[in-house]
Amino acid sequence: MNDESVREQLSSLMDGELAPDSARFLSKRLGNDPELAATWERWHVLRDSLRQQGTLAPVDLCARVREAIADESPAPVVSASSGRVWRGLAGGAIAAGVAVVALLFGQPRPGIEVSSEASEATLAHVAPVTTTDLTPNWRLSPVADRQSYVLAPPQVGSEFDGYFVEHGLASGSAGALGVVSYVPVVAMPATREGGDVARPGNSTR
Amino acid sequence: MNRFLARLSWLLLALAHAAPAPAADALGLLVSAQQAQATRSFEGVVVFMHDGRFDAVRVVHRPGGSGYEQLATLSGMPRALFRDAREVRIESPGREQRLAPTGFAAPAFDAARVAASYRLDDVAEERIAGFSARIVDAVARDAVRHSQRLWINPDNGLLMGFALVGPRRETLQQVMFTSLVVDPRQDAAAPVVAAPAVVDDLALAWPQGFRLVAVREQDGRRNLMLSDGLAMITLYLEQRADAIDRLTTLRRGATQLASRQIGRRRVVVIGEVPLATAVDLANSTAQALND
Repeated sequence: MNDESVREQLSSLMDGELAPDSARFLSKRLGNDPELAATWERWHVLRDSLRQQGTLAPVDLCARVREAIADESPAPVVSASSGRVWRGLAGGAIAAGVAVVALLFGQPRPGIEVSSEASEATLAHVAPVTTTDLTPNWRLSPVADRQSYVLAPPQVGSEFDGYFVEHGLASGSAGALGVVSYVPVVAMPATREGGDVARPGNSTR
Repeated sequence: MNRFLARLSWLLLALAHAAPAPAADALGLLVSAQQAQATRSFEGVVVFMHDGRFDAVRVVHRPGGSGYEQLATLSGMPRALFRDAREVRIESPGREQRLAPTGFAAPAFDAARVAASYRLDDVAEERIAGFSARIVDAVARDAVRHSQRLWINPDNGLLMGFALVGPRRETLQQVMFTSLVVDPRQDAAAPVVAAPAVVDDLALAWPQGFRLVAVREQDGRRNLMLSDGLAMITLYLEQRADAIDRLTTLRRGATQLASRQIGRRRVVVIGEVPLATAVDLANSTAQALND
């Protein structure tokens, strides 16, 4: 798997769009790949800065995930049969996956130690891992909030902002679609800060 | 013999059900959708999909002379639009913008023009926001316009969803109700009124299938509206202080803007049409005004 592919998967994981199996695999890799873990942390800091919110994932998340994996991979497993080795590895991956997903989608309350949640992600606790556990709760975490800064914002040009507004309003009053034409007017605002949207044609006339 | 005729009747009925719905049905749905905008009160929440993102917008619509619209975003930046006969107000935190009412009368639905520009199919039925909706596909007959898919409630005519579809059948933009409450009372006092005939004294060439449906003069600026029956293009003809030769293009969602200035005359074209349509119209109009 090349770096670009991994980064795409990482982005999908941030957006809650990664398949459960891939999420488990990637979360394990996050625990073992410091460079990828650093990227993961940077993306979170960037996203949270853009959202002007507190940091969602702790900066030492990956270290804590690694600790959780270490806690769930006791030494005796190494000397056991190959089947038990695989079960141990899978258990570590699941523990890491659940820790990451819980941090991503669980919206922990302030004051709750993340490390304690990670350490609770033992095999016994995560046994009933389902697809639902690995997908975001859409009702609590709307897509728009998650994606609005990840994807490219609409192009805007301050000089022409007013034209988009007036066209939407005119289409709503004279067009066949009616009120539907007004929706882009409110949902795609100008990004220019301060002052009113320029009225078409009155800037230099 | 009677038995044969009975079997033939059943066969014909079955064939009639199996065949695609005629375009007349689709046209009828489009007509009812436009009428419903002028006669039905409703409120609900729409999801607006564009540029790979979703936005939720609350919509309140009251038709008639004292009617109004209220729209407010439920996701992303808070922003609201209020429109009535007196003014249009757009509000966001710390900002308020007031605009004069648009003042364009809705032209009567031009079925012939729509049929000439689009192939209409009443393709299927779906359930939208708890309501049944017929899916009407308006497939563009040329590259001048985008195709459209409309979800229309067959009972009350309300437009439940709308999608602009690009040349590779990709969805460019989509609006869909996720919840809707419709006032069972119908406002019969506000039927769709045919717009007064517009005198086209400009002798300009419009894109294939489009016609001038409204003209407004404001602050020395001419504002023209073109329509092919479904798609709308707004055209601004302006005098500028600076003399330059420049073509500017912008896009917001599926709305394309092309501005062409030659000397001190500027033409701004904006509409939910392909970029080439907007650019060609801006160029040809600017050239014609400077000839």
